[in-house]
Amino acid sequence: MKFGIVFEISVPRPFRPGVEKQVVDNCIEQAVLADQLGFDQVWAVEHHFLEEISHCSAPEMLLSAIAMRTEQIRLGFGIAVCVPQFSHPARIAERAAMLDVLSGGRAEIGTGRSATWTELGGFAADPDETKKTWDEYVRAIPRMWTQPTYSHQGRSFSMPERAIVPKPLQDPHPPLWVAVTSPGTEVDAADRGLGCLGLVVGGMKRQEKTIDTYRRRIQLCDPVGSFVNEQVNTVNFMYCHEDPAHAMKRGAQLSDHFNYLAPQQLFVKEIYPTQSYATDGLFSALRQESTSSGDPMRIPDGIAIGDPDRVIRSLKRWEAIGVDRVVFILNSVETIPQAEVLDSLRLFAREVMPAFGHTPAIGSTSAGEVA
Amino acid sequence: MPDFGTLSVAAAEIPVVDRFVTEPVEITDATLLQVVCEIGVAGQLAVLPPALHPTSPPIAIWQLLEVGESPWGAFRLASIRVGARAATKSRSFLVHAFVDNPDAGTALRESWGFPCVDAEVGLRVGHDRIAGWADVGGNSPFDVELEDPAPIASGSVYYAPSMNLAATPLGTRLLQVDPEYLVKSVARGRPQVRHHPGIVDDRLAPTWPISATAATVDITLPTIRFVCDPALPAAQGTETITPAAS
Repeated sequence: MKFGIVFEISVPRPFRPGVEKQVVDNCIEQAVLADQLGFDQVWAVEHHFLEEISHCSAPEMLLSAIAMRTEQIRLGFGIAVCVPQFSHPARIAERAAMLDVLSGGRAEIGTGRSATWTELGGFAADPDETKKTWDEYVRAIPRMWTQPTYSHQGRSFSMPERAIVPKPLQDPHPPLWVAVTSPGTEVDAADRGLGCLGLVVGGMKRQEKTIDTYRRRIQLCDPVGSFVNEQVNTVNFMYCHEDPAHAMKRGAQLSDHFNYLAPQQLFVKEIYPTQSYATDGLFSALRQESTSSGDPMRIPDGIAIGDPDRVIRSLKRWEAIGVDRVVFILNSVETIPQAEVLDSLRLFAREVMPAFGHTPAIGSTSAGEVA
Repeated sequence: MPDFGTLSVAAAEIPVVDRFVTEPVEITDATLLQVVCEIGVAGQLAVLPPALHPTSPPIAIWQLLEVGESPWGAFRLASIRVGARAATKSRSFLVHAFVDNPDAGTALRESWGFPCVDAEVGLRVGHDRIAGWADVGGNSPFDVELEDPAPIASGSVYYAPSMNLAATPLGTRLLQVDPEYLVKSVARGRPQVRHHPGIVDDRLAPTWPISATAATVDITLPTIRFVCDPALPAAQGTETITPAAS
């Protein structure tokens, strides 16, 4: 199992001058440490207009800054929103390729279509169309990367023949993923040979069934890219501390803040009736998953919050049902002091990662400890 | 922490609910026209009580309900709500209500805290458009339309529970009114709202259309199970209504 981190860039009110910079600087520091500790990936989401919960509207720029300061960690650009009013597909292909070049071939691209009216309405996008435009985009982008020139006459976009440059450094191109939050999207992922990103819906039993469906379907896929990216990547919270009570307290702060802020947005499903949006998307799914009952200390099984032993047990459950990667939300509106976030990462690397076959990396002791 | 509303509830004229309703009321085959639009950010907090968070972006919901049979006879109810969150729960705050049947108005006011004003309320269902309006003494606070209705799946429409401000035996409270809806059929179309300032709050003027639906529904007007102190965040100020308190 591989581990990573994911940034929403949630910013606490009041929005004083400099507060966004402080949060971004903290994210970069976390990513640099994660790289040193042997974490495999860092993802940055694309969200727009989501005050407090996510000020991450230009993820590839954040990832470029991280790329310049790191050596090994892979850089997940996404979810890149595949809706014309947000970005032309050529712009997604260009930005992803530049990130790949800058990082020496470490880019991965997540695709999706947004679930909030806050975002879709802000760009005057049609919620009925987003599944169709996503489909057109994921078939176009790999060709833009691999063909010398590209032209298209389509439903959501058309363009005359052009050279879309730069080309990615990775040969043939970066791995492609899709956000899977609505039931059935795992089939879309499998049929197109895409990685399954962000599966958090419905608890372990449901997950197991979803992953099984994905694994079976992808054997028969017609890949949109030049290769099949058969991987399952989930999103989780993480706070790890030797003292179980402190870990639970801090971890609950993290998940509670995230879960309180996320539903303040306006979801498509609430106000625009359409079969295209049967669920509220990732925020809602993660919220349900992390607030379900079942743990005497309030944190449900499967959430990577606790002392190292508990975190290992939680992650072993995901591993057992076929999850390849887990990416962690480390903070929300800076509710956990940065020093504690960094210590949590170090402890995770030192005590948890070896249980999954990783060798402890240099730097996995906290600043005050003797290595 | 998200923003909270800033409405001064002490200054508001509100319905009096002497006892919390203990029996639900079932209404069948009603027609419910709902239009949702964004409203301006600047005034949204002043429209909501401090218990509630605004949605992002702020929205208002215009509803026209036509009921053929009820314990109070046939009636039409026009209302305007503002989208909100009670802590993390999806809610709407009822700002205005107009009803064309005084008996129904009294029942809705005294049992569920609808701030009903007597009015003429109209609903016209056509194949090209569905239109609704209210008229108070020759002045229309608003009229709404759904243009080009097209059937959609009945499970896809959502009605946010309403928070209605009232004077209750527990003090001034927001009553959680969360009817059950059995949607038998629903059509969606282009929304249009004409807001006429003066009778209704000018801050509810629509700024961007979102959706319009017209449905045939069975509605169960509920018992009151939860109330909330409007001056406290909903996470702190929500109380459960037990039969003894009713």
